[in-house]
Amino acid sequence: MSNESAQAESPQTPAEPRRDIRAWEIFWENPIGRIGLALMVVFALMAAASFVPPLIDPMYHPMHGVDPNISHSTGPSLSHWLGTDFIGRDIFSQLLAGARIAFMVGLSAALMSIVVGTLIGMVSGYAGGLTDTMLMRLADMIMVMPTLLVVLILSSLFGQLRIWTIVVLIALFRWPGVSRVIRSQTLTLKHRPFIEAARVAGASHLRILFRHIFPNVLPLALLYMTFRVTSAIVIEAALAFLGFGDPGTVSWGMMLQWVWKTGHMFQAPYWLLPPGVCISLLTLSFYMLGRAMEEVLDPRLRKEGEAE
Amino acid sequence: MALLETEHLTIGYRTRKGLLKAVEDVSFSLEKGGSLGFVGESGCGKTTIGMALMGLLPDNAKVIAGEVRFKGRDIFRLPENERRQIRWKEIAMIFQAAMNALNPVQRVGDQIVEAIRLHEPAFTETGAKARAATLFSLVGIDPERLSDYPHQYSGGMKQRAIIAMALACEPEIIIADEPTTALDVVVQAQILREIRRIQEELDVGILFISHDIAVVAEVCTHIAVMYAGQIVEQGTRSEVFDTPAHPYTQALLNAYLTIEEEDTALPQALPGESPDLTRPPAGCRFCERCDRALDSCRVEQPRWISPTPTHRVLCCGIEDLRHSSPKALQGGPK
Amino acid sequence: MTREAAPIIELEAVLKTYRRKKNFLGGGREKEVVALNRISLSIRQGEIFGLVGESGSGKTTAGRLIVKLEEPDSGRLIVRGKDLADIRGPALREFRRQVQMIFQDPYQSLNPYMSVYDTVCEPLIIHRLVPGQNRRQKVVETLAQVGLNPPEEFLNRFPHQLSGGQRQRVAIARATVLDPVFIVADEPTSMLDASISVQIFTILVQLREKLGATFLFITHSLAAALYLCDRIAVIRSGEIVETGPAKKVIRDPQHPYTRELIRAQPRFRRTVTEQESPHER
Repeated sequence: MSNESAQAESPQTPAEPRRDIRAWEIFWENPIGRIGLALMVVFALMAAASFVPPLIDPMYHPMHGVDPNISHSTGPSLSHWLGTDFIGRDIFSQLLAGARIAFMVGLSAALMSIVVGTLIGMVSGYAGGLTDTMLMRLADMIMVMPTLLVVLILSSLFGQLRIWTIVVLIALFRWPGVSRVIRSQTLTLKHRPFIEAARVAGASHLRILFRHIFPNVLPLALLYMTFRVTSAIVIEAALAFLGFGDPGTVSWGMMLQWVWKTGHMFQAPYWLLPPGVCISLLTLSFYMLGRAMEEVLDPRLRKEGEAE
Repeated sequence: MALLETEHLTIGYRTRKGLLKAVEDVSFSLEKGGSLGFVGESGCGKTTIGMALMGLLPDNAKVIAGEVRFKGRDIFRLPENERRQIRWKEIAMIFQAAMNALNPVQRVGDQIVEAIRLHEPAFTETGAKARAATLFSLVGIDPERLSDYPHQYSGGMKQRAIIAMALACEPEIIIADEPTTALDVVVQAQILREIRRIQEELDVGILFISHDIAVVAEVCTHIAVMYAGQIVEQGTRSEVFDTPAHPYTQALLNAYLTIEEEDTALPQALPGESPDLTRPPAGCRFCERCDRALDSCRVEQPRWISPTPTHRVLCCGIEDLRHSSPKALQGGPK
Repeated sequence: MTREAAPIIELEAVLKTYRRKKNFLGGGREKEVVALNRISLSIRQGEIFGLVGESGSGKTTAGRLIVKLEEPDSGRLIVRGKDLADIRGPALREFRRQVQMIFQDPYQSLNPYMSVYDTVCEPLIIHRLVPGQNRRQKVVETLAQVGLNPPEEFLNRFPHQLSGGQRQRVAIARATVLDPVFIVADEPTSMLDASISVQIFTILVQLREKLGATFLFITHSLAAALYLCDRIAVIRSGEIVETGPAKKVIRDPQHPYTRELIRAQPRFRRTVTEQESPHER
């Protein structure tokens, strides 16, 4: 009987290391991935550190903290590393707070739009027929609407928007792109033998969707999430800059708005440049992460069906 | 002098798990107009050899040792432009599933003409078209079909078109890597007959690579059996098939089911799997699966033994070598 | 196997067509392709029945209809005397427990994100026939049955860590974990090497003994059919041209197509004259 058995790989052949470790290795080899990750870590640290300044001295609070000795915008100094804004608030702590907001907005908006987009994409691709048509028409309609414009209109109707409302709105407008991609992926997966095998085994549609299709579209969804983060951050910044942000939160866009509104655009480079540069760098870092992840995904997909 | 010769060729792939020695110490020669078949299962290294001969190894592959001489010249030492000259004009290759390599939006005739003019710029458009027509007649397709698109061809026709393209520059050697795998049995039989006929008519040398022994036997007068990167047995067709000496060759022949057998009980299955070539075993690579392995096989490298001047076998167990017919393996305990 | 057992699965005048758009280059005209042209098949309990044909003959479609991956346009699928046209719900689930399939491509028929344990355990979870704590045991037993030894070492492996032959064994384990009554094996070895194929065939034969299951073996290889099957049917372009005991059909074919198929089978023992020029060193 043991003649026919396939021996488990003997000590000669160690079992392959786990996929995630391999994925990490591939990711790490790519300089773009490394840079993107490093940048993101820097900003994450900034965001984490944003709680520190007010604890050191209440005057460092980004929103309410005012230096008693200063009541206008000043350049960088020992007590204010990036200077102060027009009413004497510390710019550096504002920058840190802005990082926190950017992450929060970016990640939550991206997460929400991915969750919605993936669900809709999967259901649409799997179900086909009328459901598919209707969902994709809906996606098309939303996709052609200019996000910024609509949000501006909505906020002019409803007054100042709170930050979380902005997040939800961004998510609501950004899911169609994801859903299209996930739908295509689902369509290809639908006919793969392992899905058919699950059907033959008696799996319900729900089970197939979540146990079989979802894990296979997840990498793609995560990839798109990184790109969504970039657009979410930019949209929020744009809204804030145009004066439609949440006035109670200090975001980089808000900072830019203040610079502009108070006429310091060309007088205070120490105030104007940092938030702008941060927006660019943070979105760049997520973009780089996304590109590096693509490389991780591709060879893995190509791994199926080894040739000689 | 042999047209194509290989000596102690060893090729490895750099992988994340380490160096994978796909081909180890392979030596063979091919005469003008001769036909040599490489038989072996997946992972044995036969495709790697084909690609190495064409100079088409991927970036992570490395020729660790050995030489390949075409018409006496070491092709690995040639500069790239000279190698390109040899490639296709003197040595042509038919890849696996080559028929999928046809451009679906271009007429087949145009593709062949393009290939001809690429390698022989002296040809005019008219001249190349005429040559294409001749080639089609040679491989048995009506030259009128040159103006069709690939999707209008059947699988067999596409494969013939590929063969025609390979012959376009009148090469001296054709390397065919599983040229009939994707085809139906009936078509396969036709294509193999064509290949044999063309080979004899044009005196083209053929290096035929396949996992299917029967296919190799149809076309080749000489056979090399490969296992885990090494040639384990080499000889004329009748030597290898009628009097196989290496246990792997015997097992391979045993596993090949044909409809001519009287006894249709399943043969004894060869247990286990091929070894991991990133950590090749110290001794014989086949001994884990061999039913005649001696203790020494595990630690000693096997030696070459030649039962006849043209037949050689890589095996440790000299005394145990039996020129048994493959079916003698059957009838063992199930 | 000449006992006249009762038919367990029958196809009766089954018609299946597909609408295929012609290639975009050839214009978008839709063409109706008849995959199965009112075929009838009767498979008896306990036998290994071979369906032999070339690609495009409809043999895979027949297999898919039997496991209800698709429905026929007309005609009936009869299991143990009952027409199974519109079964749903619990009846369909019971059908799925009893009728299983082994797919052709071991590189695509396993979910790359599921471990061997997950894959083989899934039918147990779906059908709730084995209580949670016994599932691991059942999976281990099934893996041993298909020759993956020691089973424990394979439980946590993923498909990309397995060879083609090992993957196909896992696929067989998945198909047999619920002790099905009928198994469709769709060209289970066409993507595997010859020596691994023999391993797989051996497992299938052993399973027939152990489970008492009936098999439909779909293949393009007459030789494999000869070695494995009790009876075979030869199919071409959606029509069955000949049926009968395997040995008889192959040794004494009646239909011209069967004869042509047999003639085309490679023969390598009858060597034609060869020139023995000194080639090797």
